[in-house]
Amino acid sequence: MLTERVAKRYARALFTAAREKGRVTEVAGDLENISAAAEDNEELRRFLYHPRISPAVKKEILEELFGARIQELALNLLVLLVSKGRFGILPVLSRIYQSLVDREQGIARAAVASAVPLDDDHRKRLTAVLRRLAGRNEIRTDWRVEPDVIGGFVAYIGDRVIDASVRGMLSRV
Amino acid sequence: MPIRADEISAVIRRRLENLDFDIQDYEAGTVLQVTEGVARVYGLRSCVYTELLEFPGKVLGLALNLEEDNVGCVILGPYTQIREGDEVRRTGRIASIPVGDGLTGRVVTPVGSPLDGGEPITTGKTRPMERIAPGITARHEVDTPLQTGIKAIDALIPIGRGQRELILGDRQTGKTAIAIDAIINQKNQGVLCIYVAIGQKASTVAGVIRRLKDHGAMDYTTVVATTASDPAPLLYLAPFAGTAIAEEFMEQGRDVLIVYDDLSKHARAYREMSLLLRRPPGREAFPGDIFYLHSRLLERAANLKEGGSITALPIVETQQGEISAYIPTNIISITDGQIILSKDYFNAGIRPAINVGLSVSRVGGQAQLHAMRQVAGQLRLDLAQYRELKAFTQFGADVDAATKAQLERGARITELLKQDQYEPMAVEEQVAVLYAGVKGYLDDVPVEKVRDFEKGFLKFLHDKHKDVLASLREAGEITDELDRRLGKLLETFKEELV
Repeated sequence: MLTERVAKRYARALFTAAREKGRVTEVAGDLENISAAAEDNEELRRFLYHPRISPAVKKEILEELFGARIQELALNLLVLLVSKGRFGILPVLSRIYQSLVDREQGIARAAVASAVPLDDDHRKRLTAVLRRLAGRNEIRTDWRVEPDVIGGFVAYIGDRVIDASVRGMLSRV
Repeated sequence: MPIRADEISAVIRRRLENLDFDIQDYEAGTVLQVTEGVARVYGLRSCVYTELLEFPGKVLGLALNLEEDNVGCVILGPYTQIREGDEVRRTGRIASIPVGDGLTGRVVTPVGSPLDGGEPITTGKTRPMERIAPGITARHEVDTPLQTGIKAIDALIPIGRGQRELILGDRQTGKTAIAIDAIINQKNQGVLCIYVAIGQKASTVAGVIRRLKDHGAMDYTTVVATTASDPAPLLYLAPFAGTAIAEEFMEQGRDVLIVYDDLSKHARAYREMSLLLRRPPGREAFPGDIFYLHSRLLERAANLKEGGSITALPIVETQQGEISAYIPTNIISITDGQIILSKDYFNAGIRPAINVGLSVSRVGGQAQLHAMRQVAGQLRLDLAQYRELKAFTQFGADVDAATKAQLERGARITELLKQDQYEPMAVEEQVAVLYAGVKGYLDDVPVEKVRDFEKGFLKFLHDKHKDVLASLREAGEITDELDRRLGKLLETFKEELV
């Protein structure tokens, strides 16, 4: 719970700064890439969390690693997190930052789980419905394949669940 | 007959095309953690306070802590099957209970499921358990008596309809017995009763229900029962559920008597729940809103201008007669008076063990029957003097004749106020026997014969002079003529005894 609260503060600050520079989407991309990299790369993670490596060294290596490839703001955030010993909040921070960006740009996120991959026509029709339900002008949908849905689909928008699946019907029998 | 394959597939195809897809649209969150009866649920951003939530397996929860990104809720059922990551659905319903005539004679849980093995409750109407009490303009002052059938109470601590009278005492001093007698005495009085058992032993609740049945009181009584094995949130809801049932009757213009047995267990259940929800503890680890919890509950007792009333008899158990403990003082200050039972009286054979000196009724006096008021004034005086003199003479001081007479009178009146359990008395009978006491007709009866005298006199009245009782009941006061007749009858009766 604490992580969430701390991450929210960092994310808000970062968002305000990025908006001033007009680099909101770029920073979002960077954050996503870095958290993905940290998740995949055991060595990087161990290095970043290592208590014996001083923040100064970590900073140097971070600059060398990402310096040229990411926004200055994103790099500064990494350095700040490392020096505060809060690198662990990065995935949560990235998620919250993304939701701030979404809100700013009028984007809603949704997820649809179906037993088999849906074809384009289905996706298009579902997207239209979901957009109307979400009340936003754009919707980004994460299409998942979950065989235990059996048939139909389950759509998630925020806390809302629209269950039109055979699994749901069977569970109500 | 040959079966054609294409016919079959046509039927199947047609059925599939018309398959009615039952789509469910709901809001859900995820269980973050479950501890003893309390769950934290992530999400549910639009959930409202005291909304019912549904866990897997149809287990209900009650949302009580709405926080930034999670909801703290108490689970109103078995929680051992709930796991981290489970889906929790909003129901859109505020905690509520079925209400209406269908509940009379039933035993239910605080969420309205039957416990008596009967049909499910289908009254077609529900009410939220929490509701703001009637306002000032809707209320009328207490003006009609609620007869408990217990001499000591109806004479000295009268209760009116719409009043809240606390019953306070140590364990095993007869608190529940008074409440049960009061319920039994409501037979044919047009008063509906609700008995709320909060965390009682299941065997005790069964005993109470059997007693009520034996005396035909279940015909107009609803029991809302929670036992010691129920989770704390259910105990917390019980009195609110009972009051919601009572409010429905009150708004129909009917009179209701509700017994909360008992609020000290309720306070403890609320403390348990609050601590598990991580609300800050205060005095004796009770949460800060423990006073509000009981005041908002008891404020719902009312006597409405347009008819209908709820009379509340909350029960509180004290430890070692300590009435100045936290919960007892809280509730004493909320209620319109208290009946204090003491262990010493109980052990001395004075039953009901009411401590007449400490017990008060702050509003019932206005509602007391005039005839009763005529005998009660003298009764109170006699008893007060008796208590004072008795304390004094315990030092073995020599007493004069007048003092001795007062002591004798006091002893007889104390004897007269004794009453067996499950034997409530009609108010005119009470007036008749108390009249005998305060007018001195018992002064020459030996103390140990007082109760026989009482029984005999009542039998005598019932057998031969029913009209006296009837006119007492109808007139509602002791007129000069009744005064004379009662006196004469008492003399005749005493002569017959000799």
